[in-house]
Amino acid sequence: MSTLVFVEPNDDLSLQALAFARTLGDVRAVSIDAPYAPAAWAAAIVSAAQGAEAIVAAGSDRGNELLAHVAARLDQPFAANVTRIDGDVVTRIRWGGSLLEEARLHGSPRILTVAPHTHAAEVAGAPVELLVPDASDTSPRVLERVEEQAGGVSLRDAKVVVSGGRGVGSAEGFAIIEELAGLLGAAVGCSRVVTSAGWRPHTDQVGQTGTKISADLYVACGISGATQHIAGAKGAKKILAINSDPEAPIFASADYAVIGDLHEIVPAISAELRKARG
Amino acid sequence: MVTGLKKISLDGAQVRCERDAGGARDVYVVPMPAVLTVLEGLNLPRYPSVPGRLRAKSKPLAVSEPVQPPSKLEKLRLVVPEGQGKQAEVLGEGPSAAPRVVEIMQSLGVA
Repeated sequence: MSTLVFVEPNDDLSLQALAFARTLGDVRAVSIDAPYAPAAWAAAIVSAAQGAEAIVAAGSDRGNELLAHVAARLDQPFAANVTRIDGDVVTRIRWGGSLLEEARLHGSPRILTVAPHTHAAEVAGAPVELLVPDASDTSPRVLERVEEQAGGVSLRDAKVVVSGGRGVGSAEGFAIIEELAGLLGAAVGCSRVVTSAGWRPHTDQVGQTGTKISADLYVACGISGATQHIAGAKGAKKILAINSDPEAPIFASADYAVIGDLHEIVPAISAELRKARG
Repeated sequence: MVTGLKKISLDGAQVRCERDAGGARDVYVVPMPAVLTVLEGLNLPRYPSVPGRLRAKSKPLAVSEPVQPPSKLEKLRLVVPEGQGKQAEVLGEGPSAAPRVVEIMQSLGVA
């Protein structure tokens, strides 16, 4: 009896999942080297998992999708984004990290993904067995991969993100946000209200359904701080919130707060940056 | 079936689907009929007109109540993670806070 772990090559999250799986017992690591096809890959994992006590993958988009397919095929429950397991009781991250859920997993094998960055990655790795999906499987597969052609700094990887929300007031209002971002070499982000109003494209949206950032500093200007927004912003090491409402929920997630009108404060910060640089 | 799409275009009897995949887009081309689910950002929603909504109100609504088997992932409790509700350090009010903000940016090594 063992734990089957699906790993992806050169993927830190997979190594974290592997380290987690070791706590459950013997580990058998498998991978697939073929164009991504969720249903076909899941079928290959299911046939490799016969007799396994648990099936584990990283809590990445792909890991979660694959194991959802696996669970559906086996008609077993699936716990995504697990941080802890104790027998059949799992603790897992829900609602973009705003709550933890404790749940009992009534199933065998136990199928779960490991929440990213909750366990140290395994350094040594494990011998990985390559699975070959059924070639006659015609389920949807990825035919090509198009790199995003974002102008300037990518939101996902930017060291600094300067973001604007409802408080910015208009598409033109983003000029001061862009100016500050330009000075910091930062990417410009926004909240959902802004994309819904058409002030910025959806690709700029930070949040649960937008981009999840991992910046060193996130500057949130005129953003109230809805849970869905925080879900995308919490990956930032530090959050500076600028908001005229001292009761704005964003301040509960922020490290630094400036209270007041962003239309005065943001240009003042830009001016101060220029001054500091002489 | 392809899920979580950000772009769909028809190409004859096939549909080309694009999905975000960490800084790139994965492209699937599937024959129709197909089941697709989409994500926010695919398009700008067109809101129904008021007369349309009034007409929709008077339409009969079929309601079914399927029997749900007990969940095999049984929720025991929800907890608020530790470290939430942290106390932000107030750097000041209004534009006079700017010098302090720049100091913080410099100390973080981003300015």
